[in-house]
Formats: sequence, structure tokens, C-alpha cells
Amino acid sequence: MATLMKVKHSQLEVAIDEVFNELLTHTPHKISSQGDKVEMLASALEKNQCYIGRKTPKKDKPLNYLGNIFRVIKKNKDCRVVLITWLQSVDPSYCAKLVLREKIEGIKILKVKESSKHEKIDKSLAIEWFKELCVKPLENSEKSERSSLFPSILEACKQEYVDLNDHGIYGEDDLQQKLKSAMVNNVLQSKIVNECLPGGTSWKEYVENNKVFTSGLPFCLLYASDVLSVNIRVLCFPSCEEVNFYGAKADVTLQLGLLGHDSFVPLIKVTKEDGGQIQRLEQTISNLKKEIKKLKEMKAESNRQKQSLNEKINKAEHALHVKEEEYKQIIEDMAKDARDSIQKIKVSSINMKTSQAPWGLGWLYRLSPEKQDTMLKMMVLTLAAVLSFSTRLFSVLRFESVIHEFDPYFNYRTTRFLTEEGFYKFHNWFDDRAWYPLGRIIGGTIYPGLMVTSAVLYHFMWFFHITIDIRNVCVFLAPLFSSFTTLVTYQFTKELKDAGAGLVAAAMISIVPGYISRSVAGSYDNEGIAIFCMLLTYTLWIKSVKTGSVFWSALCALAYFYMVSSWGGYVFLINLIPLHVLALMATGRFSHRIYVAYSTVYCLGTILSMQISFVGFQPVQSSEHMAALGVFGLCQIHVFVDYVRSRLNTEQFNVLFRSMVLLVGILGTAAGAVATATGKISPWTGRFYSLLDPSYAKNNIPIIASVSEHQPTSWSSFYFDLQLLVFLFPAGLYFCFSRLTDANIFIIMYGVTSIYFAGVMVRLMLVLAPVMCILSGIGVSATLTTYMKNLDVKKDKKSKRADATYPMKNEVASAVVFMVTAFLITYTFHCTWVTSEAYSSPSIVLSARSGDGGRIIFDDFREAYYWLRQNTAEDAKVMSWWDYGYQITAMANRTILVDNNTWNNTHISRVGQAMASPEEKSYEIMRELDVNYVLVIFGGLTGYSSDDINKFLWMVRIGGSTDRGSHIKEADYYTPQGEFRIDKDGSPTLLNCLMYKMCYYRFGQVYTEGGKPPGYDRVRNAEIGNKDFELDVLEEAYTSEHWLVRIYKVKDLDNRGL
Amino acid sequence: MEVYKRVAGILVVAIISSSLVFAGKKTLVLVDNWSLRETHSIFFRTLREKGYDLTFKTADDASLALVKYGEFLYDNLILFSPSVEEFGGSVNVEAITSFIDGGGNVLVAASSQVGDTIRELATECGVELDEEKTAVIDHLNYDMADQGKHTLIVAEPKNLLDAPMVVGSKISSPFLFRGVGMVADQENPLVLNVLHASSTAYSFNPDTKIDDYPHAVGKNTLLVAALQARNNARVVFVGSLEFFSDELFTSPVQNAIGKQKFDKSGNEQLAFNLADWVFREKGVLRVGAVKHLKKGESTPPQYYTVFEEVSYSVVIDELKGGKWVPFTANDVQLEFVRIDPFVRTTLQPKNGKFSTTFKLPDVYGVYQFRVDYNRIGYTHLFSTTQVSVRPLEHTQYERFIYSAFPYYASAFSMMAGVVLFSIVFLHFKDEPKEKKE
Repeated sequence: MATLMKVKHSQLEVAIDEVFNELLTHTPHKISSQGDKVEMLASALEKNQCYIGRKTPKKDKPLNYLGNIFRVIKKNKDCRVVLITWLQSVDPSYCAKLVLREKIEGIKILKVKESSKHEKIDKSLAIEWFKELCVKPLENSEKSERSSLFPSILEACKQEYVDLNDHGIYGEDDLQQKLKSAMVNNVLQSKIVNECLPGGTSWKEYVENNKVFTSGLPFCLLYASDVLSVNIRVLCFPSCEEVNFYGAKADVTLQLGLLGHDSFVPLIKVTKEDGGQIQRLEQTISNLKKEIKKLKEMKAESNRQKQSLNEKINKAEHALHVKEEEYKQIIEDMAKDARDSIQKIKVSSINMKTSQAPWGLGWLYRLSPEKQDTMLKMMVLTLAAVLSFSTRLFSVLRFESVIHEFDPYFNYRTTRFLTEEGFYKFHNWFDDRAWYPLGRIIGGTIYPGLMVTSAVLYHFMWFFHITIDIRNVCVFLAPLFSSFTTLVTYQFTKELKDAGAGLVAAAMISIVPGYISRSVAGSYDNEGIAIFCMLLTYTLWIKSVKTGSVFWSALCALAYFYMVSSWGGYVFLINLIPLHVLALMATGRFSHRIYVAYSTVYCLGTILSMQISFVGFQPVQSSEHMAALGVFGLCQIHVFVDYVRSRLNTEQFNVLFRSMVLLVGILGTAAGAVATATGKISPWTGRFYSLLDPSYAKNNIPIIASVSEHQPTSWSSFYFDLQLLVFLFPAGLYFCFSRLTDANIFIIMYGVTSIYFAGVMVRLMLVLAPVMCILSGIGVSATLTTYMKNLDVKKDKKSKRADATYPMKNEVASAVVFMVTAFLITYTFHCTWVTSEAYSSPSIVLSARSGDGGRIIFDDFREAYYWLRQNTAEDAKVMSWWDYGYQITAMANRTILVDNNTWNNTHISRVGQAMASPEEKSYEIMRELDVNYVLVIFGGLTGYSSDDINKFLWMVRIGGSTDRGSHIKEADYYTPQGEFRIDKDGSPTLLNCLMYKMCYYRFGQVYTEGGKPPGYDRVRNAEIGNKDFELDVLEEAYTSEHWLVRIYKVKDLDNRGL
Repeated sequence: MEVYKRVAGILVVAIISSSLVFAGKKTLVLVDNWSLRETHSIFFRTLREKGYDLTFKTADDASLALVKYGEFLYDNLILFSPSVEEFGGSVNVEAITSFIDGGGNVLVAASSQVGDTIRELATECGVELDEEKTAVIDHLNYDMADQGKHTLIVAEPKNLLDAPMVVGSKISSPFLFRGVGMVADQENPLVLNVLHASSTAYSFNPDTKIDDYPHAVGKNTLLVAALQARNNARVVFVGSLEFFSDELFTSPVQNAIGKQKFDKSGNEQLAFNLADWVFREKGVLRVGAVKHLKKGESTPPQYYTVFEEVSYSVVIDELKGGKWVPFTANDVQLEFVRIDPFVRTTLQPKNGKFSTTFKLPDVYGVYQFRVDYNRIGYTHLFSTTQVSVRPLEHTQYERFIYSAFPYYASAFSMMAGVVLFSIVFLHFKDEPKEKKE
């Protein structure tokens, strides 16, 4: 017996050596020895984490893993393991060997499945042995024969058996059998196995009481669902897909992950309820309880048999003890070697890391995936924000840090006033420099949001002793806010879909030309911050719709207030939100969340918006706001009706409902009619009509139609301003429709309405651009998400073969991804090109290419304005067309008659009449208005096309639109053929009007282009028709270098009355 | 605003006072020939006695000059040289018009021998002289002393302009006139028809047959015309040089038809009245200090606010006998103008200070206090002061309005109600009723 044992022992030693060799060659990262691996496992287990092997262990190397596990278990003495093996993978006899060798107590091995295909030669034997060993109580007489085959193992296992009995599941072998088979079935049939319970206990109790380790998936799940805080550790071997599947049904958070080089990497977190299983479980429990009673009686009998075995076991124990010492020694030596080598590798690897640049990407890989994710998002967002700021700086770099165009000059002037004089003076500011002699209440006729924002920024900077000039604050405000817009867009899109779409949308909006056109550095206009406010309001609105909380709704109202304070376009917003609510009602999605959100937003928002003095009582009076009020009322009714419905039966309710609808309808119509008739509800203003009917403004209000921003948009400008987004927009809409939610309905409505409005008015392209970016972001993100998954990065032939239903899967995916990438790249180039070429000129300084390719700068505007500032009396009144009003007040500091705030049509019309009339008639008007100087913009010499002659027809139209100008008829200024010509064939009315004379005074002697006669107008490409004339009532005061600006002084009445 | 007002005030004062500095007595008299000094001795002597410093020169004197070193050498100019074709020295029509535009006064006498130069000058001043050799002829109003051509006509005092300041008052004798007729430019608002001929008069060459429509007929025929330029320089055209002669000053007048006889013609009286006026001895006004205040304050505010009570005062002086004395009139009006006058009120005179108090209109804007006193014979008195009238500040509106008390009450009761309801809702828990029906 002793010799036999020796032989077997030597066999065992060989086996163990093999195990360690395997370990050394197959451990991950090639640097860990088996000892290292053990430590890793151990540490993972100590953290109550699960360990998933890569997949089911490969057939030929199962023992690596088992060996590791066993050593781990050995370290955690208080654990017990139920080891469920897949037979084709792990031979239980090996397990038994290892158990024996490691002398681990309390291991119970369950064999899960025998697969007929992959049977090994010694399997049947092993099964037999296994059954005997684990399941059936041993009988003394039979054992002696069989034990000849594996004597020492048998000995050891006897001891195991006893130990197992001590832990209270001895004798429940039938039950175990059932459990076993149930588990097998369930694994195969993809069901959860928690129907089998031993001893009437729950699995939780079972596992808890026995401190069991399981490596089978169901146990793992049970652990996760029931035993969260118990000192139980779970090891699982199944593949990740299975974990996914079961995890989806688990009740609580199940954390599964991969053990990496030096940390545990959680892969999956799963939560989901599955209540139905539990009920079925309880049913089974009661059935099983009866059986357990029976089994307990059997247990008592087996206890007696146990006594007789004790003696034999003691002997075997002694023998084992001797051997044990030897093995221990060997293992310890090996472990020591291994540790040393690990230490060396660690040191060398640390040296390597430190020798690299400190900000190499190495640190990124060491972060957990969550952190990496956040990190990546933050980096993309930061880059987008920085990009959106810097792409708007072309004009500053090319020219200088100046304010652009017309309106921004006014905003700049008011901001300066605000910072210098304080808010109350600003609020009560009556400007006697503009609209002479009417004056303008600036505080009450502007949206102060922009100025207040700049002033706050300015004071904030100065508080920290950053002595920035207010002009620079103004110049860079729009780029700054477009950076903020980028961030808000991300958040907004994230609320709508997911973070990925958000990132794409943020990146897109950062460079979309439609938005850049209004927010380049120096374009200091309301729109610059208004888009930010608008998106912020939308984001908060979606948030409040989703949560239904008063908190978010109140925040939304605040954002709305900021929006109202900064742009007149808030009307769009206060109509869109009610429209959304209405749509939700119509689709039956109206809920208490929406009720709370809308009621809060509407009440607070309306009260807040009325604090802006320019808005005043409009929110409760003007028809633009009536939709919001109406929907608010409808909300109350809807909720009330729902309440009543819940209290009444159907018939009563129907009668009541019908009569109420009739009554309310009649009353409402009557009230509306009365209010409109008495002027309480102001008639629909022109601007609003022109939104609904593109031809309205053109036909009725020339002053609205004259602004180039108010012209209908052409298709080319859609492409020019949005490029790729035009095509991605429908894709985004599709994805929104495919997964309809409250939030998606909002973005759909926003997209559809704004695309209509953008078609009506070029200016509203600005409103369209964000939603285009958002929807396109959703589209791109969804497409990429779909196809990126299909990309087969690994060269694995098996998976290819598996997708028989989807041929060329990888190729198609590659093509799509490649195409999208290419489109996005062209988008980037297009945006940058448009920004650089079209939207980055300050328009106060012009530039042109000269013949030799050099850049010529026309600085005539400022030249002329400074001339006015230096050479005219301080209270001189300057007449010009309204376009230049703001610039003159801001730069020349002179009183002007009309400016870009076109609030008084009559006054502008009067100026138009003066420009369009012959000299004597104009002189009367100019005397009446105390005009000292007249300023015109003339581009005929340089070829600057947006000059006053090209705007002249608008002056005629506007001039003729009032009673006093009824003698001015547009037709008089055309040739009989209906052309607008300035040459000899032009209408005599045109050739003798004041504007014509002012523009072309002395021009008849100037040669402008080679080969053309003198007086050749380079804009109209014609030789002027009226060349040699003198001015009677005006005298030329100043003409700028390139004749862009011409200033005339109005003569006094003749001294001798001639 | 303060600055503007001051500047405007100072400007007005400066313009008027600067013209007054020139209204001295240095006078250049240009004659055709020296004999004129003898034939018109009464006129010149009397002027000398009045203190005028007369310098006689012939019209073609080569040393003639009105300007030296950019300054005018004379304050007044008397052109008694109707037949001159070309002035000597640096004087020409342009020089004379610029003299007028510079504030100089001119008295021009024409005659039937009027040359193109004088005619041109007249045209520049809105008066059209008839052609050479023509004369005003009146077959019904000629003097007994007439020699048959009916060119020594008798002009009745009732044909004088009704402006005592220009022509003086109480002239009863008719005037004797022999000379060329004039027509005023209808377009020119500044020309005064001082004396026109009777309705039977016409202007033509007495020696030729009338084969054309006469240049001037009836009352359109002007015998004396005057122009007060916008800078208050004055010009008088008299169609007859003889009008100022000793002979006509002293001769008796008897209308050949009406037979009524006067011992002495009114010529002398009218001539000196005209001289006083044209040399700005009378009818000269100036604006002194302009003050506008918010009622009850002592300094003008930067802005006025609508509805405020404003008091306005302006000091007006009149030049009398070479001294500035307070002006007295009851018809000086103040306008508060923003394109159109919003307030027009008569100023109350008190020792040369004209003042009024009024309430500002409820329309904001940039206004002008404007005094535009334009009476025939007086210099044009114009004073404008620009002020801004702003709307109410946000703190100036009425805080609590009586008619809004019900709304206040409802608001506060609503608040109280919500608080009560919240307390009840939060702390009073209804026992769950068993509703099993």
C-alpha cells in the first residue's frame, strides 16, 4: 500500500509540475507567474468581485485556472467552493487531484454536464467515482476495491466527505442530484435556475450559510440578486455572452469584469427586475420542503456509519500530513522564485514608464473605462469649444479687433454707456443724439441682455484686475458664447439621445457657418448670445419635461428670462414650447410631468419676461403670445377634464363635456373678438405676418422688406450655410421618429418649424442651424453606432462564417464608416472656407485684391466718420440713410435723424423723401429737420455694390409709403421700359433727385476704368447720364479717399433772399 | 445740453452784436460827378449833422476800395451814381454784395440814366430796375412843374408802406419823383415795397411810342424799394436820384389834376426817415440773456422731463439814439418747437425782460425754445435754444394707484390663501376612507 502510494505520489508531482509550467506560459501579460496570478485572483476575490475566465477553459488547459482558484481558496480559509464543471472542459478527477494536493477543505464538486461528443476515455470512470465521492454516502465494503485505482485520492476524499457532512448538506444527495440536473437544464435552456432549493432555505441562506464559492453562472446570479453584503465570493467561468444574458434578468447590480494586469476591470453592470421568477420559486420551495424532511431522517442513519469510518480516516490523515509538508516546501520555493521574477519585471516596467514623457498616453490606459470615457468626452467637448472660439477669430487676425457692421455699433455704444454710467442711468437713458428731433428712449426700446452680460463680464474681469478694454469684451463676447453654445448643444442632444450624438452635434455646431455668420468676433449682436440662451432654455425644458420637477421648470423659466432679455426671437421660443405641449396632448402623451413643467415655465416665464421694459405687457396682450396663453388654459382644462372623468360615469361626463365645450367656445370667440376690436390684443405685427406669408412684408411694409436679412432664403444659401447638414437632417428626423419620446417630439417640431421660418427669412437661418446640427448629430451618431459594431476588427474567421444572413457585413460597415468620415471631413473644410471667405469681413473696413494680388484696404468709413467728429459742430445734425445711423452716432458722435432701429416709419419715410426729391423740395425737408450735413455712401468709384444708389429704390418706396410722400412714385424712377438705369436713358426724375446728384457730383470728370469714358460707374457698369451739374442747396464738405463716403453741407438760406 | 444752449445763446448774441459794431457812422458816398454835392447839399449836410462820417468819391475813382486787409472800411455805402458803367478800383457788384452780406448798409439812388452796374446790383437784391431812358409816367398824378412828359410824378403818402419804423409817421405831403421804375422780385420774401406808384402809373420811355407792354404798370411800379437781408444789412433803392435833391426837397407840390397844393414836398422827411432806417439808426433789436429753468430752480437742468413747469425768459434790447434801451412790445411770442410748435405763448414784457411759464407737453424729444420776432422795419430777432425733454424715469411713475387697489387686494389674498392651503395640505391628513362600493 505504501509503495503504491509512493508511485502515485510521484505521478501527482509530475502532474503538478505540468500545471505550473502551463501557468508560466499562459498567464496574461507574460510577466506573471502562477504566484502572481494567485495574488490577483485573491485580491479580486477579497473585493467581492467576480472573476470571469476568458471563456470556458480550453479543453487542454483547464487546470491552470482551477489550480489558481484552488490556491486562492486556500488562502481564504473560510470559503467553500461548489465547483461546477463543464465536463468537456474539466475532468473532475483532475479537480479531485488538485483538491487533494492543495489540501483544501470543504470543496464540493458538482459535475454539470456530460457531453456525449467530447467524452474522454476515463470519463465514465471518473463519473462513477465522482458520484460516489460527492453524492452518495460511501459504504465501507465497496470502497476498498475501487480505491485501488486512486487510493490516495480516495483517502483524501473520504475525509472531504466527512467535512462536507459537517457543513450540513450531507445526506441530501437526492436533492443535490435534482439541483444538479435542474442547473444543467437551465443552463442549456437559457433559464434561470433558482427553483431548486435545499432544505427549504433560500439560495441566499444556502450560500451564506455555507460560504460557498460557485463557479457556475446561476450561482453567480443568485449571489448577485440575493446576497449582496455577505462575505461570499463568486467565481464564474462562463463566457461573457452568457453573463450578459443572465445579468439582464438579475435583480440587482451585477458587476462582472476582467482581471487585468494590475487591476480589476469591471465590464458589465446589469440591473433588471424579474419578479415572476420568485413566485414560481416559492411554489417549488414548498414542494421541496417535504422531501427535505425525508432526507433528514436518512441523514441520521448515515451519521452512524460515519463513526465507523473515523478510524480509517485518521490513518490516512497521518500519511497525508507527511506528504503535505513536502509539497508545501516545494510550492513555497517556486512561489518565492516567481515573486522575485515579478519584482524584477515590475521594477523594470516602472523604470520604463518613468523614462517616458510624463504625459504620454500610458496613464490613459491605466484609467478605468468609465474614467476613460469621461476623459474622452471632456476632451472632445473642450476641443469643440476651443475650436468654436478660435474659428471665429479670422476677422480679428486679418483686420483688427473692431466692431463689425451696423447694429453692433449701437450695442457697443450702449454697453459702454452701461459700464460707465451704471444700470439705472442706462435703464432710463433718453438718447437725444438719435432720431432727431424725436429722440429715443434707449432703456425702454432695447433688449438689455447683451449689454448687461458684457458689463458683468467686464466688471468681473476688472475685479480680478484683468484690465481689459470694454471694446475687447464686446468683440470677443460672441465667440465666447458660441463656445458655451457648443457645451449646451452637447447637453441638449444628450438629453435627446445619448452622449455620442451630443458630441457629434457639439462638434458640428462649433463650426456651422449658419451660426458663425452672426457670431464672429466683432459681430456684437443680440443673436450672439441669444442662440446660447435659446438652446439652454430648450435643454432645461426637455429636462423639466422628462423629470416633471418644479426645480428644472423654474430653471427653464430663468433661462427663458435671459433669452427674452437678449433677443426678440424669444417669440419663436414661446410659441414652440406651447406647440410641443399641444403636440403631446394630441398624441395622448400629456401627463402630470408636462402639466407641472408647462404651468411653471409659463407662469414664471411670463412674469419674468414682463420685467423687460421693451417687452412690457406684450406677453398678455399681443397675439404672438396668445398661443402660449391658450395652451396654458388648455392644460388646466385638460387636467380638470381628466379629474372630472375619473369622478363621473361616461354618460354624465359626455353630456357635461359637450355642453362645456360649446359654452366655452362661444364665450372665448366673443371675448377674443371684443379684445381685438378694442385694441387690447394688438393686431398682428408686420414682422410676424411676414414670417407666415413670405410675400406679406414685400407687399405691405417696405421698411421690413428693405432689410437684406429679411429676404427669403435661396436654396444655395441653405447649402452654403449648412452643407452636409441639409442631407443629414432628414436622417436625424428619421431616427427621432423611429424612437418617439416626449423629447424627440420636441426636437422634431423645432426642426420642422425652424426650417420653414428659415425659408422665409435669411436671418432665421440662425435658428435653424442649431437644430440642424442636433438632428444631424443624432443621424451621424446612430449610423456610426450601427455600423461600427459590424466592423470586424479581429481577424477571426469563425465569426465571419457565423453571419450567413448578412453577407459582406464587414465590408459594408467599412464602406459606410469611411463614407461618413469623408463627409464629415469635407464638412469641416467647407465650414472653415466659408467662415474665412464669407463671414469674416468687418464690413466697416473693406478689402479687395489689387491687380498684383496684394490686398487693398478701404478704410473710408472710419475716415469719414472721424472727419465728421473732428470738423463739424458738436450739435450738428447729420442726415443719412438709416443703415449708417448707428455707426455715425457711435463713431462720429453726431446727432442723426434715423438709424437702424427702424421704429418710426414716418421719420424714415421723411428722410427717404428728402433723398428722392429734387433739390428744392429736399431743401425744404432738410430745413424742417434742421439738417446740417448729408452723408451718402457711393461705391461707383471702387465697385462697392451695397451703396446708396443700389439702396435707392428702397428709399423711394419707403419715402412714398406715407401720406406726405405720396407724390413720390416708384414708377417715376424707372425708364419707360421699367428699368432702373443711371445712364442717359434713365428716368429724368432719377437723374435730378438729390441722391443722384450727391452721389455723382463731380463724378463726370473722373476716369474710373481704362477704356471707358469718364464718369463710368463701376457698380452699375454704365456711364452716368447727368454729368455736369452744380448743387444749389448743398456744398461738398468732404469726400473720402476712395469716394466711398461723401459728405455735403446744407447751405443756409440766401442772405438776400434770392 | 447746457453747453448747446449756451453756445446757441452766445451765437445769437454774437451775430447781432457783431453787426452792431459795424453799425457805425463811416459812410462812403459814390457820385457820378462832384456837382451832386451841391445839388443834394441838404441831404448830405443833414447827414453830417447827424454824425455820419461821409467820404465822397467819384464812382470811377481808381482808389476805390470797400475792403482792406479783410475788413470793411465803411459801415454804409451811398450809391448816388446811377449812370456808372464800371466802378473804379476794387469795387464791383460782387464787392458790394459781399459788403451787404458782410453787414454793410447800402442806399442806392437810380435815375433814368441808370447803368447796367446798378441794375445788376439791384437784381442781386431782388429788385428789378427798368431799362435805361425809361421813366415812371403818370398822366393823372403829375406835378404842376412837370414839363409835359408827365414824368415828375406825385406820389401820395397813402402809397407808402405801412411801417412807421421804415418810413416814419405823419407825412402828409406827397412826394415828388422823377426817375426809373422798379419791380420787386415776387419770389424774394425780403424785399419791401416802400413806396409804389398810383394805379395809373406805368414805366416806359417817354420819348417813344408804346409798342410793347410796359415793364411795370400801376401799383406794381415801385418808386422806393428796400431789402433787409437775413444778416440784417439794409439796402434801399430809390428810383430817382432827384428825390434827394435840394430842389425837390424844397419845392411845393401841386397835383396837376387834383390841384391840391402843398407848400413843401414830403421828400425830405421821407428821405431822412429812410436814411435813419437804412443806416440802422432805428429798428434794431438784440437778444440778451436767455434763461430757461425748471420752475422753482435756479440753474437750467440737463434734461427736462415731460409735464414739468418751465419758465423761460429772454432779454431784448432796442437801439435808440445809439444806446441800447429795453425793448417794449406786447407781441413777442415764444414757441416750443419739435418740427412743429407744441406750445406757442406770448411773452410778458417787464423792463426789457420777456418771460413766461408753461407746462411741457407730454411728448418727449428734442425741442427748441424759439423766439422768432419778425416785424417790418425791425431787425429779424431770432433766438433758439435746444433742450431735451425726456420721458419719466422708472421711479417717477405713480407707485400706488387707487383704481388698482382691488388687484392688490386680490394678489395678497391669493398669497395668503396659498400659504394657508399649503399648511392644511401638508399637515392635515385625511383618514383614508373605505370606498368599497
